Amino acid sequence: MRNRLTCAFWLASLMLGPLPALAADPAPIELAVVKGQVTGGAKVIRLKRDDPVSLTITSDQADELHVHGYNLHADIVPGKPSTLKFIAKRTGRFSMELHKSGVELGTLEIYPK
Amino acid sequence: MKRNLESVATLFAGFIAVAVLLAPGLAAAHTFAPPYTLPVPFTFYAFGAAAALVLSFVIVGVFATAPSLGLLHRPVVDAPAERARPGVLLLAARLVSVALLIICIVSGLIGTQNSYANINMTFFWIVFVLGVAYAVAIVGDFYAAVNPWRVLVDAVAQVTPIRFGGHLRAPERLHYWPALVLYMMFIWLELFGRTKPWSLSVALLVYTAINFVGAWWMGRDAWFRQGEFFAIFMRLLGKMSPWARPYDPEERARTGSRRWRAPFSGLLEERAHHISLLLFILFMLSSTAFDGIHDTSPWANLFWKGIYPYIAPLFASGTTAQQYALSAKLYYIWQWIALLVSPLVYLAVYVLFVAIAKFVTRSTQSVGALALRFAMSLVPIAFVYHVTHYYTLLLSQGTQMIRLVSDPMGRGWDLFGTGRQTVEPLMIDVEAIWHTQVALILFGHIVSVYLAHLEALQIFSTPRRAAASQLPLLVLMMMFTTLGLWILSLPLGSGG
Repeated sequence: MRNRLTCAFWLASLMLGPLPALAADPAPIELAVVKGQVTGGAKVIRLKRDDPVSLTITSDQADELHVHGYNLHADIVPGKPSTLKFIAKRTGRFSMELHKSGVELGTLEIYPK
Repeated sequence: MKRNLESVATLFAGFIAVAVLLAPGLAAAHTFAPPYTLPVPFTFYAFGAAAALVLSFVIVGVFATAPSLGLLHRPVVDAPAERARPGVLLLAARLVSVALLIICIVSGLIGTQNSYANINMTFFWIVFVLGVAYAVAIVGDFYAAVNPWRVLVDAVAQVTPIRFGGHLRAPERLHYWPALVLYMMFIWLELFGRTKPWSLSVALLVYTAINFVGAWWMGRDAWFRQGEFFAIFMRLLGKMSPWARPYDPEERARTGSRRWRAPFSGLLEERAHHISLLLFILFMLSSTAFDGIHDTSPWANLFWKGIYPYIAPLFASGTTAQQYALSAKLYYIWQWIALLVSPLVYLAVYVLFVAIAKFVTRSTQSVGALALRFAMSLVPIAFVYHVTHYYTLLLSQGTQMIRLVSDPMGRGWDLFGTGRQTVEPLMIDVEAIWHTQVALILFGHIVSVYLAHLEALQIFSTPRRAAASQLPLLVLMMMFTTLGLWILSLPLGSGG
């Protein structure tokens, strides 16, 4: 009986284990570009390694989003939000920019845990 | 010395004026392939500084008790001199070197203007400026033997009647000023020039022309000794290599061809004979420090809170938009002045501490002479500054060469079957970077303290006086090292 209880306890803790991490997920990043300017200016976004990142850009012009270092690209259709989702595996400081217009969106700073 | 400083000041003023005129749009500086490293945390910085202090005293303590420990001064075996004609291998290397220069120029002129897709940006800024410099520090100054500009000048001298014999009566009296001025212009171009493939090619063409004119004006040998700044930069770094044998057979015939020496001891084989070389070495230090600091928020605050409010009323006029454009311009001018004046700030601090050393030891040598004697011992600190700031770029962007060699101009070519490959940038975890940065800075610090002490043992009659002379210099090197660590730990400004 005690063994079974211990098993149940371990199982439960295994299942619950990841929950606090999930709860601490950083808020999704949402940026808007109007006439070649980021609303609110370029930002520095600080995250921890292995954080899930959700990056949504809306622009009034067709362009291509580029996250340096991670080498991620996403096409941007005018007026339509486009989202990049990835896990922050790499630590460091990476700039986000729109490739065609060269607009600096801001910087991702990913710190070790 | 005073006259020299005046001439430097004139050069600075002239250069600032030209830079202001030539400056392209004054938007945010965007260097090619910005580094991805994060500021070193305070604990790393504090540990590094404390360790530097303790290790310095260990070195001085060891020397004070056992001064015969001049390991670096062991004689090295001399090999017989060799024939002074370049072999097939060297000729091939020279051809490759010139070919690479031509590829860089042509590719920038007619290839894509995307900096990451054109081979010239990565090859010049990363492989040459960083990779070759670090390789030279390890294996010796092979650049002297394959310097593409020297090869071109030699070739022109051979096939045309132009003799690059020099039109200046005493080129040695120019010392290293030409190289220092060109080096400063180069760093300005690196930090503020916002080069694109095309403008880099133009800069390389202009530099090629400068080399021809310089070699014609000062004479070939004098120019490549005192004018072509890459040659001086690489020669200084090459002195750290344990490989003592010159790669150039002519040089080998002149200086003998011994093969090995204790690492870094090459720096003690030569002395800085003139303040211009001391300033060149100090600029190696100060330009890297400046590159580290000029994007940080404390630096920006220093201007916007400490300087701008006082100078703004002098320029107040026009609309808000004009005012904004003007303030951006003023900020840039402040940045340029800071860069160009930085070696003089280092010089002032350095000379002050050398003067204290003179006072402590009651040396009969002048402060100027002592300052020159210790100049070469600063090269390791300058070198580790440089490596800690840029080695990550060499790994992350340098590896892109795999792709670029197949498609150098970004035209969709696939010469070697690697053109369409996505090469993942080689990136190191930030924690590992912090460790290597602090370790490297400590290492350079120890080597510099050690070299300065060996030099002191030669200058001063007793080990006691030598040790006494080292205390002020130790404080100085502690300052340089702590400053280097501190800059690495500064929070970065917003934006890319």
